[in-house]
This record gives sequence, structure tokens and C-alpha cells, in this order.
Amino acid sequence: MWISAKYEKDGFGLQTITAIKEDGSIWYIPENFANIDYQNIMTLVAEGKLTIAPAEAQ
Amino acid sequence: MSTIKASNIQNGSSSSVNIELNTDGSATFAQIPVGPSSFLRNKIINGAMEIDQRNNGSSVTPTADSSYTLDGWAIRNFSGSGRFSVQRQTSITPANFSYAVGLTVTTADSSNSSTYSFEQRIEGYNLAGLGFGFTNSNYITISFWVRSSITGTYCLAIRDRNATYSYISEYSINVANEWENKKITIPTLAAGEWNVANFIGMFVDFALGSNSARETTAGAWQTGNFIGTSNQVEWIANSGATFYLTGVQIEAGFVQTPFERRLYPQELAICQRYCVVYGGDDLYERIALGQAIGSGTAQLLIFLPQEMRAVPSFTTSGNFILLNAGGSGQAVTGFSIDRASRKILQFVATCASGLVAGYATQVTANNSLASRFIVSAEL
Repeated sequence: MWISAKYEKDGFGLQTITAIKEDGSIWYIPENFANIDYQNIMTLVAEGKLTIAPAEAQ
Repeated sequence: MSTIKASNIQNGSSSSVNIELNTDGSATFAQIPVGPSSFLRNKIINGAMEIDQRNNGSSVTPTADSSYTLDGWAIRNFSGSGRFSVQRQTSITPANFSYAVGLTVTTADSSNSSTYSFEQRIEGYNLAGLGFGFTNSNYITISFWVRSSITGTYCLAIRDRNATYSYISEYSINVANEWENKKITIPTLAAGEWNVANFIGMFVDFALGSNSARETTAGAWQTGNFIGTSNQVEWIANSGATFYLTGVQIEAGFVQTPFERRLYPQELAICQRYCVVYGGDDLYERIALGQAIGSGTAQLLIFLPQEMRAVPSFTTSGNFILLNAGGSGQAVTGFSIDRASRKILQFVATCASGLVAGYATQVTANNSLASRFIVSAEL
């Protein structure tokens, strides 16, 4: 479902995720456990099927 | 206090029974007494398939499993290769319904190696009162209008939030390309996880094809994650096959009442707890307002029309511009989500340059009715 993901960090240290689905759509996702996109990404990470790239240095 | 014992109650001028007194203690009304206001008894959202914020009646053929289509309704392919289009349509509907969803097989899969369905996930909060998770036995009744070009046995699956328990009901589509009204009653279940606040409470799946790994016996609660039975029609194996659905209702008890008609704004507001779509009304539709925080960066806010189920994600399609106070529009080159809550979405948009920090800034569609900004807190 998700083919790539990358952490983003703002100037105050808030971390979020930008991820791409298999249909090519780009999603901007909060680190919030109730968010289904975040849940699904972390499930894939736990299963070793997806790695979240680190945020670029600010 | 005395008891009147009778089997039926009938008006002296009526030619048929008004109320039938059943031996199990229940009563069946010839005409269900529906009051002038809604009883909010339907646990399904957008059961009449009228809300289609994402596509507004256009046909889509999703590839990703769990892709949402009409509001509240997702396709499931469990990574199978078969594909079917989904379209809200107005030309093929049963009496008294203005809309139905039409599914058409675009890429057939006759391998029997995957499972396909059209699914709604009901939020835990909304299952209150049905009786799931409690030991006192109860029933729910699922009713819907269905029509398909392929006749035979189809399955409806109810699963708990962890898909640990499944109940499969079989129903028949008897005549090709004719609307049929179906009613299914199933007992509630004490076991399983159902009433979990704002998380998934229940999966409701209309099976369109299943493989043996997800098949079980119909008519009883089963431990495991199942969608159908071995009798399920392999609808997905037939290129061009159609399946239409509308008037979906899930309610407490074992009586099918008339489909609950919520007003359009009510239904839209319910749907917007899970998804809000901006764009399509104006070529330069205003999406969000904020301020530039650098020459190529702006921080923007959307005040969401409903408190969403969870802190939302968002995605976009088409092109947008950043419109700085007093300046010309700058093409947006990227987005990221920022401080967001269930009520307010804050995000960052970037452009090459041209903004003035501190100036009020908007994100607008870029001369297109096709630009979409989709905020999602789906289950």
C-alpha cells in the first residue's frame, strides 16, 4: 500500500511523515496513533516491509 | 392486571392484520410506525450513496487496497490483481433512491487467489446500542438494495475491529440486472473488540470474490478473518460484470425498517468527520490562509468544518499557487503537514521564491477546477 516514506521536521522539532502510496499519491501524515495512515505505515515498518527515511538536517 | 392473549390485532375496516403478535414475544407491524423525525437508527453512513466528495460522480478504478471511493466506502482487493471501477450514478437506481454505487469489473481475476469486497468500516462510537461486546444477546438487521449482472450466491461479512471474529451471511441474487431488496439478521457477539471509541468498531464487507483462506461457514460466528464462503460468486472473474448497491442500513433488532432518510447536510456533515475535499468550485478556489515565513515558505491553516475522527492526513492532486499579499501567485512546489488537530489543519507550502515573510498568504487552486485538496481521517 505504501511504497516509500520519509520523516519531516519543522524548525521547532515537530516530526511528521511524507509518504507515497502505490497509486502514486503523496500523503502528508501526522504522528498520531489514531490516524489510519500512520497506523498502516508503522505496521509495515514493524513487519520490515517499509523503512522511513530520516528527515533532512534543518 | 390482566393479559389479553391473541395472535393478531386488526382494524375492523382493514382487510389485513395490522399487528402480528409473534410466539417469541415480539410483534410485527404491517406498517412500521416511522415518526416525522429521524431516529438515527442507521449505523451505516452514506448508505444511499449520495455523498461523493472525492469524485463527484466520476468513475474511478482504484489500485491500492482500502482505497476510499464514495464517502464511507472503500474497495478491498487484498493486493489481488483484479480491478473494478466505482462510480456514483443516477441512471440505475431502485424506486425512491436517487443514487446508487455501480461497480464494474475492468480487470478480471479468475485465479481464486485473492479476496475482493466493497467495504464500510463503522467507528466504535457509532456501534453503541447494538449490543456487541455485551453478554445480553441481541440482533442486528442489515438491509440493502442490490443488483448484478451475475446471479448466484453472494456473501456479506461482519467482522470485529481486529478481524478476530467473523459472521458470514449468504444471500442470493436471483435475477440478472434487476434490483432486489435483501434483509439479513445476525446475532450480536459478546466476544471481540467492537466499541473502541474513535477507532474501527466493525468491518462490513459485500464480498465480490473470495479465496479459500478467507472462506468459512455461513450463519454462525466464526473465530478468524473471513469474507465469504465457498459458495460466493466469483464476480471479479467476469470482465464487464456489474454490481450495484444502495439503501444500505444496519440497525438494532431483527425488524427491517424503512431506509432512514437523513437530510443531505446532515449526511454530508457526518461524512466530513472522515474526509473533507476542497476544490472544484472555482478556478482559483481559496483553500487555506496563513502567512509567509520566508521567501519560499508559508504556514497555512484550514479550519475544518467538522471535528474529525482523528488528526487528519492530507493529499493533493493538480496544481496550487501561493498568493502573497500584494504579490503575484507563486507555484507551489511542495507541502508538509505541520501542527494539526482534529479541528484545525496547519500545513506548510513551499515555492521557489517571491514571498515576503510576515505577509498574509493564501493557497489557492491554480486556474483549474481539477485541483483537489483532500483531508482524510478515515478508518
